Amino acid sequence: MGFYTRHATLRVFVPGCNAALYSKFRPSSRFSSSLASAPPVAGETASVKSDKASSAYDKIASCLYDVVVVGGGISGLTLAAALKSSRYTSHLRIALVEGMPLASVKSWSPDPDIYSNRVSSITPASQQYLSQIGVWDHVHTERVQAYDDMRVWDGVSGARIHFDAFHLGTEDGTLAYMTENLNLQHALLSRLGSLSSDPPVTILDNTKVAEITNGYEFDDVDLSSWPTLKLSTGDSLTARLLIGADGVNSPVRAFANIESRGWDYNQHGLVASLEMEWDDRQRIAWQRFLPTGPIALLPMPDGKASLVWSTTPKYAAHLKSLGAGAFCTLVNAAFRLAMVDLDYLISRVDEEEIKEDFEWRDARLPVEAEGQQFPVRVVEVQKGSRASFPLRMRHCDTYVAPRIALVGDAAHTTHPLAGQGLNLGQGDVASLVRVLERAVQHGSDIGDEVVLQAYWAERYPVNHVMLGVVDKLQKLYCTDFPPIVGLRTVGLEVVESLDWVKKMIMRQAAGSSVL
Amino acid sequence: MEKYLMRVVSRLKTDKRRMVARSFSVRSIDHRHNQTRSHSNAAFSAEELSHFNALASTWWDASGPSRLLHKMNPLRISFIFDTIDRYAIQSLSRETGLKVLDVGCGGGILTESLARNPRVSSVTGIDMSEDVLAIAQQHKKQDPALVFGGKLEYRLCSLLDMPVPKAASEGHEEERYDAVTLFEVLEHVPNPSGVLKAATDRVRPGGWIFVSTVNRTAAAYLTTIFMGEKILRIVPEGTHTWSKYINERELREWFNEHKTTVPGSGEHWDVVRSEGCIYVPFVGWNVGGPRDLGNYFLAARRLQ
Repeated sequence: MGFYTRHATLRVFVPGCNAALYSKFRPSSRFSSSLASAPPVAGETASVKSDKASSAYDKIASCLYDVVVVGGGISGLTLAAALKSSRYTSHLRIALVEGMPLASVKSWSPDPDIYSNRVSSITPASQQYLSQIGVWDHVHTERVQAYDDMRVWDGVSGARIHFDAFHLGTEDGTLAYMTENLNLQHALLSRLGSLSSDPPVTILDNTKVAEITNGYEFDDVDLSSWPTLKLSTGDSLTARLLIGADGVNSPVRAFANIESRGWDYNQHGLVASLEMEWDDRQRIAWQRFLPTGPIALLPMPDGKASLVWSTTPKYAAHLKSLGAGAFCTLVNAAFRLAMVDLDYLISRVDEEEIKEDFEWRDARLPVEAEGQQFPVRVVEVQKGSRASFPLRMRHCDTYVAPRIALVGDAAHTTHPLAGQGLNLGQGDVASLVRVLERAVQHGSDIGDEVVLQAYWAERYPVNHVMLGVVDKLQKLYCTDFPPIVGLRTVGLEVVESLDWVKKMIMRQAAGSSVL
Repeated sequence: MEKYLMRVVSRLKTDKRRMVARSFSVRSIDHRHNQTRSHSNAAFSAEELSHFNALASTWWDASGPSRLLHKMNPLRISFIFDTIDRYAIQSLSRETGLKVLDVGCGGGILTESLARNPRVSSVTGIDMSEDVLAIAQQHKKQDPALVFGGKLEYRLCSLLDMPVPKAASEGHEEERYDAVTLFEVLEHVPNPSGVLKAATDRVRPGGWIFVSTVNRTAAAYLTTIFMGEKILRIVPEGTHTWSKYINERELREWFNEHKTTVPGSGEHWDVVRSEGCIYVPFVGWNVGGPRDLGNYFLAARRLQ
């Protein structure tokens, strides 16, 4: 090829650069070893250095990537898998950097009796997307629980709303799927491993990003607009497009100087893996709004369930410190008793006393309350599964900057009460991938801000509405001020009686307008 | 034609003298072309040149004055490749390995995207504004794939200054282009017919000329100049000159009549497609509207 001679002094750059958007100009065999670098084995701290790297130039060339994803969580991995599964973008040279080791995730062989406490609700739209990009085939479906019924009620007034498959009208009537995040991460890594795309994704796990800077300029090439990452391993990567899938405290966002706005809810989300008294074979998600925050019980397979109890940081700390028996009693109490009773029980420490007191109070529930359904009682909490984290709302002013895009929690964080966190991230990924596919087809630079703005323009309004609705719901239900309780009760009863409104809400929540 | 021209002229009473000189009849344009051929720099006026020189530094600023151009670019690329996919003549046209000449390449927005397309084997971008071309060169350096891909080249010259490449003959390869693109060019040059003629000379049989420009209609004045430049200010003031706009019908006629201007050569042009193109604020560019109202794309194919 002519350019070898014309740029003789720089020809060592050819591999990295050509790996870019031109499969056609793949360099001669002499260089291909550094291009088609070792397959991305998770756990391998593997490296961008080729064995044949003999000069400094070779090293720099092998550091050029079309896409560098920071963050090996679900959003980051989904993006890598989606790009590699698309016929338009599968030729891109992609690296993914993750601070934690991924070897154990990749080789995950779960114990059927033990469920991780980090679970997510996956909407049918997200599930379809994961199928479409070939990930769902790798999911351990025996550890996924679909639900087709959702019961939500006001802990102060007792007003109820009931959503079931009828309101959604999907084929199998599924409202959402519960699964462990680990299950998805494992499936994503398996999918990446099974893809035969060339070049494969370079996964650099157990590797932290030490510093992000602007690139460099030399001779014929000006990479000053390309973000360059210095890694804890000493390697460095230079990206045509840098993706921040690095969570709520995103270093990529900090580098891009993008403002993130929002507030903390002064609530902690307490999660735990629970064992129910018996497997009632019902596929129901339960959520009760208490003035301290909503408590949700989400079905998992085999009579197991997952708890997300949003409550004050003080209560969260106390609930974590309690013995298992007392904790389970309090969970049962939180679904059945009035707030005043619950407050009293939480103030006790002795397990026997709590148990007795709960039974006494539960037996005195008014008859009409008995007619309302409650979840089956919780009898056991899986050891070590209680954990809590602060809840907050955050939304970035923009998701893009030149050669930078943010996805998932790096761009927005929401309260877990609607189970939308992961799904908004999946929606981001689907949108960004579509935008990048178009950019490749049109011969645009995929890091071009004009290209990336289309992604932001598509996702910002959708996410903004969802974050706003969840935030207002949270605020509306975090009070026992009687006039507000009265209004929200009337509101809930009106919605409950209008099927078409319920239908609309369910469609939104199921993500039919998200993807 | 006469009647039509009269109508155009009467509509332009205020700028009569200029308008008559620009009326787009084949004969008068060819006449002008002969006059300007000797001093080819007349292909671009001094005012136009200084206007675009001033725009150079912001050419690649995504939120700068060239934003509309950036947003239009994917549509141009789609128009080019959709046309080739639909209308290429198998025995005559090449569908890959395309050699393209981008006339009036500016900062290289279209040129770079052409060079990134795997179906294109080489692109030459030419422009007469030195400052703008320097920006194109500088921007090219930001993508190593372009620097080392060896497909993209820029030249500071007018189309009329470009040597006419040789046709294929025994033992020689075809040097002419598979496609010459004239996007947003004809409405900025004083002798559009001369430029078009020069473009046709450089296209191989089975090859293409892709043009985009603006109809000389009241609607186009209102949208591109009054709204775009003066009210919304999304296009830099002075970018457009209404009297230089060319109607789709005039351009179509030019191609239809062109075959007769070179008797015996067998050269023959076929306007295969033209599409209206409209910018809707807050929505973006849309292709497929009326082709005789505002902006439009046109594709002409050279037959033997």
